[in-house]
Amino acid sequence: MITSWWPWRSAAYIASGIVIGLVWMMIAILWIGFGLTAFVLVLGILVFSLLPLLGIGLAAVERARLRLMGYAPMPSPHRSPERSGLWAWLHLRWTEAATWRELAHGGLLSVMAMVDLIVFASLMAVAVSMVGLPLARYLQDTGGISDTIVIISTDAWQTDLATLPWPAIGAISAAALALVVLALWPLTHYARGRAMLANWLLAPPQLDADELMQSRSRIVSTFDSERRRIERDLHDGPQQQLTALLLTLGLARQSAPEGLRDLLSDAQAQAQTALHDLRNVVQGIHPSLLTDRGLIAAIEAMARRLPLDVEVQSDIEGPVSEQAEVMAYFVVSEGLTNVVRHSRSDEAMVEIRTVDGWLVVEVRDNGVGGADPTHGTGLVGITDRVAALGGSLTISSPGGGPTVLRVELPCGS
Amino acid sequence: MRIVIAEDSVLLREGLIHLLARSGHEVIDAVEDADALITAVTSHAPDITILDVRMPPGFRDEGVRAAVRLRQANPRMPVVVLSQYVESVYAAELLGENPAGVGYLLKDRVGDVAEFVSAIETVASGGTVIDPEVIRQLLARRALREKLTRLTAREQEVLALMAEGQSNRAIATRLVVSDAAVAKHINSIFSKLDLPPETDGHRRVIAVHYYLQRRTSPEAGLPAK
Repeated sequence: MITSWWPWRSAAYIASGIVIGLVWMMIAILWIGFGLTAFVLVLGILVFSLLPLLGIGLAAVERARLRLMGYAPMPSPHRSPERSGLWAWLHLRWTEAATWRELAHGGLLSVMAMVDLIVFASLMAVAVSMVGLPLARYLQDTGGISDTIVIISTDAWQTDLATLPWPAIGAISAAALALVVLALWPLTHYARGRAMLANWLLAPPQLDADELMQSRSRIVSTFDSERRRIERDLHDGPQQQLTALLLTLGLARQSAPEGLRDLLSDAQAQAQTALHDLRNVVQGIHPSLLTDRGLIAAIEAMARRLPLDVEVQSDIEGPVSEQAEVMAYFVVSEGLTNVVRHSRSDEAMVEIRTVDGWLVVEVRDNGVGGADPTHGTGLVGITDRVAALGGSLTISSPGGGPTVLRVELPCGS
Repeated sequence: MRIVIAEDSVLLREGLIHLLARSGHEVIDAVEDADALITAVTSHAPDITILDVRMPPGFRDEGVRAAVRLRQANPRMPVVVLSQYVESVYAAELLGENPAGVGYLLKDRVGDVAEFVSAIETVASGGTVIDPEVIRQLLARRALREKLTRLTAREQEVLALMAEGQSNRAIATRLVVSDAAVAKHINSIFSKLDLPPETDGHRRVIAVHYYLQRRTSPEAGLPAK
């Protein structure tokens, strides 16, 4: 340990903390004192309103100083004001929790700097004088020091340095030196603790991995329910209206004079096309069969619409969340679409099963292989969404085939 | 005919009432959801029920389930299910063991007023009408198509029309051939596909659908709710 830099970094951290803490304390006392005395004037209010500046300035220095203790450079926890100007900046800073944490850190550092100063200064004085005993005795012997140096003094017993034998002096000195070296160990830990405290108060808040995961999963979930809502709205609105339009045009055609019938037929055909196109769009947004009859029925129905012979095998046990089902559906949809587009295959196999709380989906073809998953397909977006649910997507597509798309999703995601 | 309608879109409900009234039929009750439909059918005993697949409160497949319930209670109750999407899974559930008096159509079909009314009348008189789109989905399977290569192109056309529930006469008219020619094609289809010899119209639809379905959806059936 002694050979590493940590003891020296720790000592430097504590020592610089003492200096900075004491200087800051003096500035703060002067600042508050000046603010109080000037309080009768408007100036006092201004001085107090600028109080957060003290904490913010110190915190900037302290965040940099944390690098001494091996912390990575960290950004400021403060937000940038939306509007420019001193007033907007001040207003934002006063309302940020980070500002008050920084000010609290300033107060804490001041108190600790005083304690550190007392403890370290006295310990240092004792250590230096003990280690320096041989030098003192030498100086006494050569007449450099004429005073009596008392080593141990009680009411009953008193020892003078001049009367101590040299081996005893050497032993005391060596023991003191060993203690100084050993003291570096608690010092290092103390400095680490201090750095952790400063980091806790000053670092920008971080979402931990779990929270981040959950928030991503929530976004996907919101996305899914939004899609369902859009599908419902399109079904209840434009689709029904277009159907009603078809009906009205049909009725009109029945009683229309000869000259109008062809025109009405055209109008009907156009409405029909619009309805047909809209239907395809809506099916792509959220397949209603998935909600109504579950994943397997929806995948089988999708497979029937493709120019592909698809075999679907399933072995699902236990509950699977709706989110995971929707995801699995879109993965298979994308996978089969790619089979149709790129694989030059006319057969595909979809296997869906649950394994220890995971929903495992495989889409396999008998095509030419060589698929590049990063190349412009919808798979990139899907990979991100699968990851957001805590799942994974892998593609194996050696030249010559076959291509296997495999997705694993937590059943409860 | 006395008709009960279940359709939650006001626009379409009014349109259907108007269309049917103009064709000389009477809509004796028009409701918005499946529960009200069951009550209405029980109290009015209509000649036919026309219902939407998606209805309140769930906006899912209430219509299909209600139709199956109605026909379980009274297997002779003719129902026509209309939907923005047709799924062969639903067609299989509606046809069940007894396709007499079952209709399953895309909502688009209301555009052709005469044909739509004729389909309603066919179902009311115990016939079967399945949307061509369902048949297209069923026939689109490559594995099935391969097996169907045993049939001539004309026989495939006849098979599709049979699956829609068309009678020999209607098929003959559609394809502009004689009734005898249609009968000959049908005999040929039945023997090539190893289907039981043709009897009456309903069993024919069942046989054809069984043939088409079992190769597409082995587990077609209404899951427990």
